[in-house]
Amino acid sequence: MIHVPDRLLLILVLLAVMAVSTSCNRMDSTKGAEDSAHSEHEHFPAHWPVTIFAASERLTALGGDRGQLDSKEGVSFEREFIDLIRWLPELTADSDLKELDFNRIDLWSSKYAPLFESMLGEGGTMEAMLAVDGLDLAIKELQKIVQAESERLAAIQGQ
Amino acid sequence: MDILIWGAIVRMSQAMLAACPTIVVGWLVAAVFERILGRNGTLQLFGGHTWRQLPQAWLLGMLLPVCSLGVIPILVQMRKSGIAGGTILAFGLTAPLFNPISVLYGLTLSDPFALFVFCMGSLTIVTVMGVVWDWFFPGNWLEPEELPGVPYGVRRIGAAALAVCQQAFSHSTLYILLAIAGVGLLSAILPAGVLQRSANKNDSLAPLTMAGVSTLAYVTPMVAIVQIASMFQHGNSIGAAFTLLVLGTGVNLGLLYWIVRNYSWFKAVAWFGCLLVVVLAISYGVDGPLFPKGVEPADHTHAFDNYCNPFQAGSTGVPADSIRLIREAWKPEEILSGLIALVLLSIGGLQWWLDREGSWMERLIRPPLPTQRQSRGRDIVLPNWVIATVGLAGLVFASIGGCFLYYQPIAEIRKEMTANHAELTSACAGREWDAVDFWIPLQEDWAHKYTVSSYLRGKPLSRFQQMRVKVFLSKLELLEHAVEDRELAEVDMWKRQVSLAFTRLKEVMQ
Repeated sequence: MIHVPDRLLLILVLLAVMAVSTSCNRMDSTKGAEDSAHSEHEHFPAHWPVTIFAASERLTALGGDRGQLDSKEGVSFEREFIDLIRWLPELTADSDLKELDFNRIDLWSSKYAPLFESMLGEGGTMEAMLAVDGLDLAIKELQKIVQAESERLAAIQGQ
Repeated sequence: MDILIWGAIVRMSQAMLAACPTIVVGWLVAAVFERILGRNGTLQLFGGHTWRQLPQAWLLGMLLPVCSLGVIPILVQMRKSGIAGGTILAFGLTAPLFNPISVLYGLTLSDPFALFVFCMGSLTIVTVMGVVWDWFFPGNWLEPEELPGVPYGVRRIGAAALAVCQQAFSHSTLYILLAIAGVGLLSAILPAGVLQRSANKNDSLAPLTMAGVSTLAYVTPMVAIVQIASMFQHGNSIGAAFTLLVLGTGVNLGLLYWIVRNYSWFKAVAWFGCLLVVVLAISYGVDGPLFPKGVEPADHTHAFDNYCNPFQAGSTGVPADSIRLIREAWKPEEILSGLIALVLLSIGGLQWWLDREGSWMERLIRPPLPTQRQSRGRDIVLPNWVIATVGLAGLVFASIGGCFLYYQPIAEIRKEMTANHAELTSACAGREWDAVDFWIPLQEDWAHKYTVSSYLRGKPLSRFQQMRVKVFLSKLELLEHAVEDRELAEVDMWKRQVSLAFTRLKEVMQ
């Protein structure tokens, strides 16, 4: 049998637990309703390229003359460049490219993305990143892979 | 009011169903401790009163497949066996956190290093809490009560079986029901979807919020590991994930009240306060360092929707929807174990009703007459410790073997997913939103099973396969959101995307 003080303590503990949960999670059920309009932008950042084709094109552009390019929603060119390289494996898996091509692209991504991330952390510039050995070749190879895939798809559509 | 009551009924029923298998295991283990291993054997199993008691409790807790409800009858037996309070609570905390199935599942879903840190974090908590408890409250164990030995043979089996029924119809079940009531209370407090933004990466209060919520929540070890993996994948707060693991999986209202009744209010509050401090300290400590690299933090998560009320304010047709939700939660293994639990409970109740003196058990454990013993001639008499070891090890191996049944061969998974995909696309086309809501989580579950099954069968997924799974899951999630918003054009677009991603996934499923 619970004695009266025990019951009081039980209620106090329950209230404390509830207080923590209510005070900390900003329980505003209307907020949940208002924010329920999910869109792709909530799941992907503004500079998400959607396809491997767009990613390759943008990477080539960022590696060239950036004077004509607009940054996407305030994301710096350096940040965008690194993110694009990081997202390459996922974008490749979201295409019909085969495992062999995926493995090459994944290798470039896992080699350059962490390297550029640390360079950016140390204040590295875009020029410094572009000067890294082998990157130029990797971007060109990516372009070739993507180009071949575009032609293959075009040929299928033309049939 | 309908929403509050029916919401609580739905959540309590779901929790009860999910808990049935591990509650039955808890009764079984408690009966083995009581009638086979005996008081002294149980004390020795947990290292007696030596320095080994805490690590041994942690290890046994990691191996036995019980949850925070199923652990309560075991704690009762440990207490009666004279085990120290710190060790009992260490076991009570660890046993529900991990078991072989959940660790295996977790290894394939999250970063193995993170899981290792979580395991070590739990060991730290258990050790700190155990040492602190025994330091402040020395000699906090009962003298082991004397239990008569159980004769071997059919009567030993009968005594163990009756003990399982007695465990089912005991005070432990009241604590279990109190814990389930906590789940209902939580769903009454939390409006639908209110936790969707409470575990975001940049929310410094996320671990604290999770501490408040998860104390009342009931999470099975498997669900916890899936939720934690999902939090890693979505870039949610890692500190909140750790808090969820320890407090959500390890603590519940029934367990807290059991501590109060067996020790004291002061000790219970001191223990829980200390636990909160240690858990939150570790949570804030691991929050930054363990955050997965290369993951875009999501701005919301559906991982905790199951702790909230299932119905939005103003929902209509709540009773019918409640029944549908409960029926959807039925899984064959849970129904089977639920039926077993009911049978055990009924026999236990009947025995209590008809045999208040306990003469049934007395008859079973009464030493046999010498003539009876001689008649057994060539029977091999196994000592109790052998039977207990085989029983407990059997549970561990059964849970490992169960993995191979639960995670079917890849060909089967492929077949299931293909059939589910047809149902899902048809439901999308027919705008049958309830059906879509049913098929999407099912497909997600099968995609996870594919990952684990490949791992179990010695063929871990290649990076390419992993990425194809990731893309498929991410498209499914986007379809889910489009369906939530009833955006028809988006539903059609994401349906096509899901189909494409599934076709690509099937290409590499082997």
